[in-house]
Amino acid sequence: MSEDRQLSDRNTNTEPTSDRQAALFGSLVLVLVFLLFFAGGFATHRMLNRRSVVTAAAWPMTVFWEAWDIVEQDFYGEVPPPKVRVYGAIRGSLAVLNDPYTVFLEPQTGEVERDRLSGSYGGIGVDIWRDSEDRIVLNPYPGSPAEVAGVRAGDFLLAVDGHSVLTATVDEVRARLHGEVGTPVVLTLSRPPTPTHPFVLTIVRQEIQVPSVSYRLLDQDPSIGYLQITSFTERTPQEVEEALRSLLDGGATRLILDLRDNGGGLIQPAVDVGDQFLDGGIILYEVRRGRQERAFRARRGGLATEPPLVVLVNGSTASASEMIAGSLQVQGRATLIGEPTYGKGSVQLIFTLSDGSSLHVTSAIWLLPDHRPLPETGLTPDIRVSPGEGLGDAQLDRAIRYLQRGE
Amino acid sequence: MQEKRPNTIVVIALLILTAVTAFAAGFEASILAQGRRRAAYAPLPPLPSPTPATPVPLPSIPPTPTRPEEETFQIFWEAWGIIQENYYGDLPDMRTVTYGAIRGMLATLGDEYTSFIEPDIAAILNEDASGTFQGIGAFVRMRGDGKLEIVGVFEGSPAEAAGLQEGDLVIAVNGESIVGYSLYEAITLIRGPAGTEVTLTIERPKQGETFDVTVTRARLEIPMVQSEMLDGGIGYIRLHEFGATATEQLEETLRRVLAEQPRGLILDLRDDPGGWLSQAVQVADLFLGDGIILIQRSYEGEEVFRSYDGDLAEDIPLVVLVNGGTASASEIVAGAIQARGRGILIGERTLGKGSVQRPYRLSDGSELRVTIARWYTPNDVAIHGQGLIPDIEVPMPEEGESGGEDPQLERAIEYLLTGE
Repeated sequence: MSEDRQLSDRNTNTEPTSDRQAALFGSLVLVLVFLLFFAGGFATHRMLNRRSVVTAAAWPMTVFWEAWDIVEQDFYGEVPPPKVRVYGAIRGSLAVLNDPYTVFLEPQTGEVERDRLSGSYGGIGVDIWRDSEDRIVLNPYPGSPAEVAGVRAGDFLLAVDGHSVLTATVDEVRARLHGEVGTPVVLTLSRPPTPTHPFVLTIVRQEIQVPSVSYRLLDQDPSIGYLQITSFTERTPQEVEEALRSLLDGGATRLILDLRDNGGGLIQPAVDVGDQFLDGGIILYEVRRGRQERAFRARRGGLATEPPLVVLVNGSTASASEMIAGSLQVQGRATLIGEPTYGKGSVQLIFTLSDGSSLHVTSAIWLLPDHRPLPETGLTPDIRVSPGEGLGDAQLDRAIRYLQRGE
Repeated sequence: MQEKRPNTIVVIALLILTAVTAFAAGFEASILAQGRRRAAYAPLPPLPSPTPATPVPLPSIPPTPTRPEEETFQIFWEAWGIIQENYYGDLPDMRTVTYGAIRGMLATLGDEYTSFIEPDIAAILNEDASGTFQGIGAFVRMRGDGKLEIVGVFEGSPAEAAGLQEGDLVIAVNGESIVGYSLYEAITLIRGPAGTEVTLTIERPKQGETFDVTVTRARLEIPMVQSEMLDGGIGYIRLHEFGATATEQLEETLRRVLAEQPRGLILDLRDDPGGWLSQAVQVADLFLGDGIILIQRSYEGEEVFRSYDGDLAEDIPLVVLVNGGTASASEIVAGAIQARGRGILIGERTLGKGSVQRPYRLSDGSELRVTIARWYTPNDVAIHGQGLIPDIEVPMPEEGESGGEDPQLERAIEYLLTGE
């Protein structure tokens, strides 16, 4: 209305009819211009955006559906259900990325994997190792069924359910102790200073939350603190801090960090663990596509920045644990003993899709403090030692010797 | 006049304002519309291992499916939305991704012979299957070090005329280095319309410097048949593949060989990977009188392919040489000859590819080969997965141990001369 009046006010010397026509014409032009540019704007955004985000419409899937139809109509043989073929298509499309860590897992497999990652099993909650005299030694987790039943740190295990464990490997013993939650297991134990008087305890297995860290002063040399990390979880930094305090208070002046068979886990806890051994400096860099690289720095004030340190590694030392080992090696903080590591310096994010399947996506890579990516062949230990045969642990023995003699 | 000027300015300003507003509104509207669609692919916060992951359903507002399968297919978009947002490495172009998806989909069928062939390769294979092509006339192979090696030169071909030799390495084509190219990429560059020229840079072992050779391309027939008269009056014919001109070439060769009145005939189908079904039927018919060649079963029913009296080589004593590389169309011919008692097979068990693929050309020039049928010998024995067992098994010595001898061929000659 006001526009109309303004127009007519200014066109006083024109005829009213032509004035109205002009206004009508003007509005029409305006509407047309609006529509034209609206569409232009819409299209421009689509064009710009097409490059970054692919939508169903922008993807040349025509050929895919052609192939799909031909198979359904003419393939001589059993055609699996559509869902199976779509899963196949996802796997096939991911295969062109040529990245072994970017994978698609169908729902069932996904569930199995989550079970595996949940970290609980039926057991009695003890740490097990073999001492220098080849005895199986137990150390119960705080509050575990083993501790409640009366197992004490340092007890020797002689038999499980009446079967002698004197010639069994530590893994075999562990397997015998594991079992269904609620079932009993009978341990035959002996305890210093009267190892010749065995006694029997019956313990009911419960679900055990496995700590990611175990530690002890080595009986071969009590000045060496042994710290084993099996994976990096959210609890790991706290567990490591407690372990280090206990070891250092107990008189440890040298340390062995065992990262063998540690397949990785979360990076931040791994970095926090690195903090304890490093007095400042870069621990690692994380590089994501299209973003600035992020440096993870060691905070000052770690508990164990001084004691001589050996890190034990092997072919199953992977990902986050490899990065920490590499960082300690590059910084000259630790000597690596064992075998070459796995060689996986990339980060996968795990997404759960709407149908319960999951997708692991390599979303970043890590660089060592000297800005090198982790070699695909893994880290090369400073001293190469194979695990050896029999019941002993040749790599641990070598680490002890290194710390005792400095070579 | 002076009164009109501000008026014009106002109108122009209004137009510009409208235009700008409209453009922005359109842009915004698209963001809104797409934002909603993107939400369907939005990634979940990462579920860090080893913390147990709980499945959280995505808010799903898929684009309206235009076909029922596309609803099932939404999970594909979901996965790729996540990849595009999060994948660290370079993303391949979408064509490559689509081809990967097709291959993955086909893999679920569990049939190694149903396959997808990309446009460039499909073009070469189709030209080859036609029996003629436009190029220089050389057999080539890609060596392990990424260099293209000439392993044979066609008789009377432009390659021969230009002096190319077996063992020559082609380093570049028209100045473009092809080292590290795939076999089919290299072939695509060398082939071209008859009459045009192509310059090859050649590295010849035992010759210091590379040199250029210019070859004029021609339309050439792929030699599929090779023949020879052996001592003792035995005719030897080797068929390399069942291309579109295989029967024609074989018939011509047979005529020539039979004119010399041999005592017997050896048809060598070793390492013949097959080809067209129609060619297999026609080739088998050359050797067989009235009767069945093969039975084909598909969803369309059963089809019986027959041979008829009145061909060139229906009576002459016949041995067919076979081995593990004898496949498909070759197995049809060998199987019919064996089952009908027309001749015997000597050599090693055949591959066992008893299925028929139909090639489909897709809209972008790629090709889908789909297993549409299985075939059975005249006595209704399935070949699939079994292969044909030769009447006389003769193993071939390991490469390098043979010393150029061919015990399978020797045995065939012996059989034809002695009858056992």
